Amino acid sequence: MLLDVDDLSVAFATDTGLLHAVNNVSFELAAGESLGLVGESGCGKSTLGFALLRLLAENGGIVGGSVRLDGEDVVEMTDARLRAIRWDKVAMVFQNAMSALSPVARIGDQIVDAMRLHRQIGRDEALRLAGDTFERVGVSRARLQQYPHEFSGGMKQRAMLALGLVCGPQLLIADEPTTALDVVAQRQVLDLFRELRRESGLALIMISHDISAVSEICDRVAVMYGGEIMEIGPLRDVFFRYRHPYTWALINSFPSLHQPLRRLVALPGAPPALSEPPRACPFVSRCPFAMPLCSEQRPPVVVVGSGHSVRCHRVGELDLAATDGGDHVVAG
Amino acid sequence: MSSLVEVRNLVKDYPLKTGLIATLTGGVRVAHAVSDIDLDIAPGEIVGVVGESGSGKTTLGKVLVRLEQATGGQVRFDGRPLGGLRGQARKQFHRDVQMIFQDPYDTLNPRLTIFGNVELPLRYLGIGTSGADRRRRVMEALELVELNPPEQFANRYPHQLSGGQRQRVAIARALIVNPRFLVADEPVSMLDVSIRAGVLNLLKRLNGELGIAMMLITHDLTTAYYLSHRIAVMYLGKVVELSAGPALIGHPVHPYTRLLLESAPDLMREVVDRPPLSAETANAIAPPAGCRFAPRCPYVIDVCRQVDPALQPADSGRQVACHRAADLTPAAPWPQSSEQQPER
Repeated sequence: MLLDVDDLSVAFATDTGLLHAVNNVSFELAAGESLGLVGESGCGKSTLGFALLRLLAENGGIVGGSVRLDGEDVVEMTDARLRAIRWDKVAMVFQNAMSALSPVARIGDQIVDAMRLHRQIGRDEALRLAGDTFERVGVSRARLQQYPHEFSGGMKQRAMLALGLVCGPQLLIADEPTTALDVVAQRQVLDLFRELRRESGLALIMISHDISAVSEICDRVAVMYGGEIMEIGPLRDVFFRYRHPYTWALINSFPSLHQPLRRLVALPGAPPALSEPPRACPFVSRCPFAMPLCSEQRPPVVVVGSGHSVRCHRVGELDLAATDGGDHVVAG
Repeated sequence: MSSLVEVRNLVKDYPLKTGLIATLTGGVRVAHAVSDIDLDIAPGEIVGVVGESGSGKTTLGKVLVRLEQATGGQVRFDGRPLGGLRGQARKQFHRDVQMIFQDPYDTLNPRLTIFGNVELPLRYLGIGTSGADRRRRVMEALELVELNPPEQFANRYPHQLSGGQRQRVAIARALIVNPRFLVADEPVSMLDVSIRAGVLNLLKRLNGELGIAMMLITHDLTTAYYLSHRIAVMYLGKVVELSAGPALIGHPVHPYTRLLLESAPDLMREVVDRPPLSAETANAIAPPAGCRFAPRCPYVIDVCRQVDPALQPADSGRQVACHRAADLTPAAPWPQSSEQQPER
């Protein structure tokens, strides 16, 4: 396994006490595989992504579990070793990362400086490598001479992708890489991801609230809610043979252009505050199928198919595929 | 049926900042946000306006509610030109026409309670005979947008509500003056998916029950499809295709509409290898001569680069601005190969 995440929990210290952002998350990722982490704002998907590289904010930390990268424990790793694997082995592309670039320096110079901090190479070689990577993502080498404001949104996202790839990582973690892009620019970025994966066998974790974007490039998908993975499995199983009520709601809260229109499922209420460690199902207050047990006990992880598992008490009895949104429409 | 909103040859330019010399020599450059748009919206109809950023869709909406003034052309609401509205007629216009925006947190006053926010239009427009009457109206409006029970929300502040609830407050504030036409600019794009459906269903219900006509401005074709009776696709300040939703989605004619449809990721569709796209959009400051989409269009022919096509009637009530509209119906395949490739 390239990446093995076992029972990982992350918490933040806040003014109002602990925030249990990620709770007992486990998954594996093989070399060259791609996993989509989907869920709504505050579900812990970005925090999980940051935790994999120990990039959490100062008030946050991994409070349980392990992250193994090629067998090495990231949680226990020395800072020096961590610096060595970041970017070289695992790179992360952030949402709006381009705004982190200085507006008054040429993009090429900024990339070259960063590369030379990381690797023992000369200016010219760094510039050549940066140019190669730019061309790989469909941005002209000449644009290295430009300033950030001269890039369009889609172009920026591709440049950031290039920056992530420049050291040839095995795994790329991309946080909302297509959010804030127009549909055509978004398509270009998605096409690019697909091409890169086909060409170089890059493993990918794509964090996104947009399940349809994830469906275009991922092999597997993990649906997160309230800091937990509610359902994980092969993409088609999760999206078309979902077994968790939250996945059901997520899929059916979205119209499709390629199917007759149905009434959308809307969920009442809001996600949990996560101020306490989980003692019940985090989805219980919004779940149309909740029963008393759901607020008394945390559901176990139930394996329902090959590589497909679900955290739900009622997984054995619900037939979600046959359940229409119309019966469960409540104001959200 | 006569139109509630009638847009004729609407033009909206924004002057760009230019140097002294350019100003003196008359070389002031302008961005053509909206160029020569004709559009009718019937009472009770929802028209979706779809396009990418910079297509002019928000500018169009702002002109319709008089947040911006047209540079040329005319807009009539209920038969009256917007330009000439004065006094009582103007007050009535602002009761009849309301707008909601993308970020409800930006448009609600954080220092006022929900009650205070929703009551504001009544105060501005002098509606309501007494404090008690205004209170009754506010509570009704909150109930209408499914913020129940309204007493529980009235005394809270915007920051105490979720994004979906805030958007409902913004909608309540728009509805409290009983408008006949609502411009909704990206009403759900800031909201999480599980919340989004609730707001979309609410807008649908308000249209169905109260017969409020709407213009839904969105970059998301899927949202437009779910809500709208007709959809107008805009590209660089122009409407390139206007049609009933199912016809537009099922059989798009304009190459740009096809591009949008093909680009929109969708769960219910197999991923195909798509033809690569020509790079960048032209800009609204120096739009290309001829058809504005010509530089990116895979079907381009000579005439496209010289003559700007007008919006013209095609099949079944559809209007298309494309020189090749006739050869492109019914939906011809993209000229490049786009073989189905099962990925998984």
